[in-house]
Amino acid sequence: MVRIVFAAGTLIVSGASPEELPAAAAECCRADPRTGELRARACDYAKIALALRAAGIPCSDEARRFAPLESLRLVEPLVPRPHQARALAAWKAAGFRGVVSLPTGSGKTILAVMAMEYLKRPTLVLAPTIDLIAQWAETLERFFGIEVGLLGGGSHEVRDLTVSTYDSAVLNMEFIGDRFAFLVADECHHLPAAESRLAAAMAIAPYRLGLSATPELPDDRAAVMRDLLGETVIEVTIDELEGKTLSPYLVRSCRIPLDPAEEELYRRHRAVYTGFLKRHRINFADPSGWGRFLGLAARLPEGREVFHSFLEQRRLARGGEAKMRKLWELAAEHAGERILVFTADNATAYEIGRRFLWPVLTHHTGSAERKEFLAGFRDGSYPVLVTSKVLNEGVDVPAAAVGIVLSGSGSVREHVQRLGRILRPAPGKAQAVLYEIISSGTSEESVSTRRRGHRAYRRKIRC
Amino acid sequence: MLTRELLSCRRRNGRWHPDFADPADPAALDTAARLLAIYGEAAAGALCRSEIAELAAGVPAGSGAKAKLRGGLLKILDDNGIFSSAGEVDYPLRRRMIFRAAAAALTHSGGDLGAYRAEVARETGFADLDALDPFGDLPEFERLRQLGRNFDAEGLLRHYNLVLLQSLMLYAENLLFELPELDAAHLRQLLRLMRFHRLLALAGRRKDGGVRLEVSGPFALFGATRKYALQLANFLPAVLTLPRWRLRARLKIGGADGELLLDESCGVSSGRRGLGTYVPEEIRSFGRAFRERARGAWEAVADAPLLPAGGDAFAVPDFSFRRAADGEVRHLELFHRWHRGELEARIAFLAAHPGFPLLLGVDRALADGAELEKLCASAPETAAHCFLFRDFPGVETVLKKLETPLARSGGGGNPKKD
Repeated sequence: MVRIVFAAGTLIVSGASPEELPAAAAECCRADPRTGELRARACDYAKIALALRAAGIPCSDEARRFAPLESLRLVEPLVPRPHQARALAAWKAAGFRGVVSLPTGSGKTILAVMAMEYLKRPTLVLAPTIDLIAQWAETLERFFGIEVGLLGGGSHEVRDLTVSTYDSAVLNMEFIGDRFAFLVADECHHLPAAESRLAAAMAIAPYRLGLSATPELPDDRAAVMRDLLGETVIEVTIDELEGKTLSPYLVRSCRIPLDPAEEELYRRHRAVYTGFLKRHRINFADPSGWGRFLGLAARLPEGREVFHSFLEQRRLARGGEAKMRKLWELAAEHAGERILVFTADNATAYEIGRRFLWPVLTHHTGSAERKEFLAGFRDGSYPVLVTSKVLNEGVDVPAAAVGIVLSGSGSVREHVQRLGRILRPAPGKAQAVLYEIISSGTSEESVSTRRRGHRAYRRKIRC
Repeated sequence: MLTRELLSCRRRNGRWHPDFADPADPAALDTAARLLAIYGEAAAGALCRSEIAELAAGVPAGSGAKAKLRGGLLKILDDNGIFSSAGEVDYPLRRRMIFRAAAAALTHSGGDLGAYRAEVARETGFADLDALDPFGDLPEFERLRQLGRNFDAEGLLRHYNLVLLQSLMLYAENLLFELPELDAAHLRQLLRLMRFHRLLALAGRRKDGGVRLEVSGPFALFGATRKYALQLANFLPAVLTLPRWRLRARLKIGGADGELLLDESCGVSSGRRGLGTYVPEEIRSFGRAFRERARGAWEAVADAPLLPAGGDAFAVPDFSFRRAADGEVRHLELFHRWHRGELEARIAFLAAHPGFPLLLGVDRALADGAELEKLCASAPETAAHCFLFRDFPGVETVLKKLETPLARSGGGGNPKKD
């Protein structure tokens, strides 16, 4: 009889040689010279178990430590929207595995709740940030009326329904990878990252659902996502849902010149920095470019000055005085609405917080204040919330009607996700507006062009 | 650990060459001494991180390896510092007052920032709002209370070398050790520590009687992963206590791939006297607490033996205890979530050897009371050997269990092998 045991994120398959196993199972197994056993990835559990069953080979399955959760039922009624019902059907048809691509605000969490209610199995939800896992836990508790386990942000509690950050899951999967039948990967474009992928690879969960508004991935990461979660089973775009499930929106691009003194300073620092790049033929399009720049800046006598210039020119472009004035002007113009301000870095976020006396949410913010700031933003007692990156993805702030991107990276994904923060419909929200403030004549212009490479930004309006 | 930009390591001809500090180099000693003096003064004056950074800026940085050494030493001192939050101010309360007042002021400020801030100052009673930082409790404002570990300049440089090597291990996928003249006792210790760090090894004897040990994590079989890098880095000091060792590792740092080859001549040491003296912190703190609470009735035996546990298996107790009154020895082996197979094997062994002086501590994450009962069902007397704990056993629980009579005395000796 073949025996399958879960061992620290892997499976030990014993009782048969590779030649005696069906081909589909054998190709998942490798001889481990360290222990003299046949070992497979935990994520290949379903493939191995199904291959053994199909071949009629008796199997003692000691890998899984989960059983059906027959008592799992909704305590809050749920009426799926048409696109959610379509997505669930597509995922079921694909064998209860696959990635669903839905725009932010279109109810990806609800889709996962529907899938959990259907499967009635212990479930682990992965999400990228502490704020998101808290939000997931709250939603699951509301719909299922049971306590939900949490891994991450100082919590270590595993229950039948558990929510974890990707990082905590990687750390814990060797201990808990056998406890869940269903794995939900929220913002699943994070999953294929070098170490994060282990969160799914070290879990035996046969049922898998990936959720993302931006699942497109470059290089080998798309293949990793297919391997660990399955194919993209449905894709719904923002345009399909705008004005129905999603709020109508505008994107306004504000190009603001630097103040003369800052412009002079910017040009001086920029010349020092770019001169260094040219002299040493450093090209940031090359993956090793940034490492070379850091290495040379650390090694060469003029390196400190060059690095200082690099930081200064970036700081001026990202948060010059003119931008600050424009930010204040927009905040005053939209007084009474809920405004999210996004920056590229914490220093600028805190500078805004100090100047305009607004709450700032970064990874330094303690959990009690995180909750307070988000609750205050939702109920209107804090109408403006400043953040660098922690609110980029997933966090549900439907009241947000105005987004102001003071600075950011050139990432299309980051920009689409930031837009997503203001697209959720809410009572009294007629139209959402995303402002992008760009320091004209600086490197920010090309950064802005790069990040707007998405269909959602076609309707750009200059302000 | 050092962050990537602080790693001082050059790559030449496909090999990595770490820039270890020379603990006898006057310039390096001077830098270390000056930084230690700054941290000493900072602890005495309870200075905050930004103030310490200002003082440290006065120590010349140089460039290249010198700059990285200075940065690395600062990182080590900062990591060893015990900081406390900034002063007596209740910052969350201050923020709440300011932000709530600001929310109200925003709606009727009419876009006048000066009027807006004046209104917030008036409403909160913080007259000097410009001088008051609502975010004064950020890490850069935390104050240094003391250094967790006392270094002299030479000791700090030696520790830097160890930390640099451990930090490089964070970029390794596996470690290959060649350990000449390694005796069985040391090998057992290494294997025990490897198990503690949840690592596996491909081990083989060398012709000279030494051992070749290729250490990696279970999942590493399926491809390159740095998941186990921290475990490898934490395991490394155990090897550095040996008189002779050779290390080979492939490191990929920032897209650059190369091999690291080192042996004991590099001068990096773990700072501990021998392998037997390397004890993980959890076990060390348990030992301390046990000494205090056992009050001499039981003492922890320094080096727990390997116990034959049926067939070719050995049990490696985590602790052994001797009763002062009669010299009776009992061993304790701990089973965590990932030890289910071993626990089952040990219960079967105890069922076959009643009274064997081995206690089994079982993490509740592995089995709860009912499940443990089920595991012991075929030989109920083995239940007397077992107890449950969460994460790590408490001293009181262990003391109570040590006093529990076992089914039949095994006389403290090892059973005959099956």
